[in-house]
Amino acid sequence: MSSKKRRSRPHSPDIEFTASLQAEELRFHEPPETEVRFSGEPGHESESGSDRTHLPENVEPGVTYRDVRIDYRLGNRLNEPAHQPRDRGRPSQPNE
Amino acid sequence: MATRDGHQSDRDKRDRRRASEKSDEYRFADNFPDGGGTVAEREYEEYVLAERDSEGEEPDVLLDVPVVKVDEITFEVEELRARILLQAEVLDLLKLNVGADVFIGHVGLEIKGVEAQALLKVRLDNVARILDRVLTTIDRNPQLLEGLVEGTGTAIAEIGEGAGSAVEDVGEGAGSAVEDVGEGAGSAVEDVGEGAGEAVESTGEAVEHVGEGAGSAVEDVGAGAGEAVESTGEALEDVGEGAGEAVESTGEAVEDVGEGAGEAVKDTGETAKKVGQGAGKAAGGVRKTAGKAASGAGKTAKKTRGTAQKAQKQGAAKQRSRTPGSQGTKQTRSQSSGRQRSSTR
Repeated sequence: MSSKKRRSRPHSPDIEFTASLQAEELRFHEPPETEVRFSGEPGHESESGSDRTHLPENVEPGVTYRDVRIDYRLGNRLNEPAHQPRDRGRPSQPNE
Repeated sequence: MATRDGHQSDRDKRDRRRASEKSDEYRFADNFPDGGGTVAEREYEEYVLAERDSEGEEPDVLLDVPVVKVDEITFEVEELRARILLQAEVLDLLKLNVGADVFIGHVGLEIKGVEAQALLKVRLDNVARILDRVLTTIDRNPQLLEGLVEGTGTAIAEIGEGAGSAVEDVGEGAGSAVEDVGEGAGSAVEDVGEGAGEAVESTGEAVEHVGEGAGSAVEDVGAGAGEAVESTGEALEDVGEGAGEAVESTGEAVEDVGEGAGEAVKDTGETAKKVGQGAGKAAGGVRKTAGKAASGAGKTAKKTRGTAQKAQKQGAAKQRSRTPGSQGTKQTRSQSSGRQRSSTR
C-alpha cells in the first residue's frame, strides 16, 4: 500500500478523487451496495480501487473490524483522439 | 527572555500533539516538518510534497477535505449519487467529456475513532491540449469549416422554419386578435350603425367586418348625410316654404301694409279728406270764426271805439272838472286799460 502505487494509472488523470479513512473500529450492518461508472468521449482511460488494511474485499455484516485503513482512488483521463482530418477538398469538376 | 523561552517551550510541547488533537488553526501549518502523525497525515504530506515536486500535474480545480475526525458515528445512506463531469465543446467539431458517477445504494455502518481526508482534483491541461490540437487542425485545414457552415446553414434553416412557424402562430394569433378587434369594432360600428338606423351585417373575417363596418359606417354617414341633406333640403324647403310663406306673409303683410297703407292712405286720404274737410270746415269755421271774430272784433272794436269814445268823452269831462292833479289822470288810465284788455279777449 503506497500512494505511488495508487497513482500509477492513469497518469495525471483529468479528474481524480482520493479519500483515506482510518478507524479504530468499523462495523457494517449489512453489505453495502456501491457502483462506480466512468464516462468519456471520444475515449477515456479510467481506474478505481482501494488499498485496505484489516478489511477484506467483501465485508460481512455485524463483524467489527479494528484498526482499519482504506485508501480509495478513482481517476479518469481523456484519450487524445487520433484525429485524422478527412480530405474535404473541393470536388473535382467534370470538365477539369 | 524568560517569557519568550516560556512561549517557545509551550510551542514545542504543542507541536508534539497529534494533528487531530490540535485546533484547526495549528493543525496543518506545523504538520509537514514533523515526520510523525497519523497515516492520513503522512499520506497528505506525501501528496502535497509530490504535487509540489511534479511539474504540470497540479490540478486546476482542487477540493480539499484535509482531515475529518469523528469519535463515533453511525449512519445510514440510501441512494447516494455523486457525479464528476468535465465537459468541453468546440461548435459541432468537437465534444469532450470525462466523468465519473458514484452510486451508493444502501450503506449502514458504525465507526469509532475515525480520521478521514479527501481530495478532488480536476486537471484541464489534457483537455486544453486536445482543444489546441483541434484548433490547430482547423487552422491548417480551413475546409473543415465547410461542414460546419453546412451544419450552420441547416441550423439556420431549422431556425427559419421555427421562426416561420412562430410567425405563422403569431399571425394566427394576430389574426384572431384582429378578428376579435374586428368583432369589437364591428359591434361598435354595429351600434353606431344601429344608432344611425343601420345594422352592420357581420360576415367572414374581421377585416371584412371592419371594412363592412367602415363601409356601413360610411354608408350610414352617407345615409345620415343624405338624410341630413334631405332634412336640410326639407329644412331648406321648409325654410323656403317658410321663406315663401314669410315672403308670402311678407307679401300679405306688404299687401296688408299696402292695403293698410292703401287704407292708411285711403284713411289718410279720407283723413286728409276729412282733415281737408275738417280743414275746410275748420277753415270754414275759421273763416266763420274769423268772420265772427272779425265781426266780433268789429263789434269789439266798435264797442271799444264806442267805449273809448264814451271814455274819452267822460274823461275829458272829468279832466276838465279836476284841474291840476295827476292822480285823476292815473285812475283814468287804469280804468281805461282795464276795459281794453277785457275787450281784447
